[in-house]
Amino acid sequence: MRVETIQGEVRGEVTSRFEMINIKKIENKVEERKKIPLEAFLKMMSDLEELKRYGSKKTARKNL
Amino acid sequence: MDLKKLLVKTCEIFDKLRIRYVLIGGYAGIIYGSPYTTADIDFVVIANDVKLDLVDNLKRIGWIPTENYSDVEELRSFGQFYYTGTGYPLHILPEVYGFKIEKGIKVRSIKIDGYPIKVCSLEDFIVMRLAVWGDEDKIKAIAVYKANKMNMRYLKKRAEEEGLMKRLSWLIKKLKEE
Repeated sequence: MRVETIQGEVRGEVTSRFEMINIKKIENKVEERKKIPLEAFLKMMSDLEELKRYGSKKTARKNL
Repeated sequence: MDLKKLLVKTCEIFDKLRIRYVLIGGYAGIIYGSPYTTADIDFVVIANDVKLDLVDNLKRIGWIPTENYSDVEELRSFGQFYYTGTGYPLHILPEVYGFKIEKGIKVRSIKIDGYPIKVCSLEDFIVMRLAVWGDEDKIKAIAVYKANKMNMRYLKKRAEEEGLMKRLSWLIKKLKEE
């Protein structure tokens, strides 16, 4: 599963109206997420945060 | 230290200092099956449980306060920290829109890395999203609603208490139409 920030979900769309939110897409993401145990998802999320901040896990480790 | 370990260590400090807390926000959403990531850790606490020794305890695990916090009332009204190196934010609040710890509020204890973390109920997670109701809140409310079986009686009770029944009715109607 591709871990995605919520900004990725709404980027490029005008979603101030409820109707513009793609409920089916959210449902699909929820179904994908159900396949991943919580602890594994949390690990993926931490890795993603490190990548976002440092470009790579290796660089992240150096900075910590 | 990754976010998960940081969360557990922070809750251990609350327990050690006897600060009654509840995890809220995006992290609580993830625990309830939200597929959307977050880097923030947000807690609502009983303000009077908080004393200035919380700051030193948090510093020991790498949380840096953004304010001086020489006055406990400042810390009680809004505690903000960031994590050394990664910059993860930590917020400690006495209440937020749609939620504070009081009689009748349901709190769940969920084990992470074997440690029991107190988390807002999924219904209260929805109520908090209804209270703010921005685009991200709508998306997260839908995700958590879809991922779980709600206690509708409690959800409606809480939405009513917070004056959010119209938004809840709208959300339920929209999700039924899909």
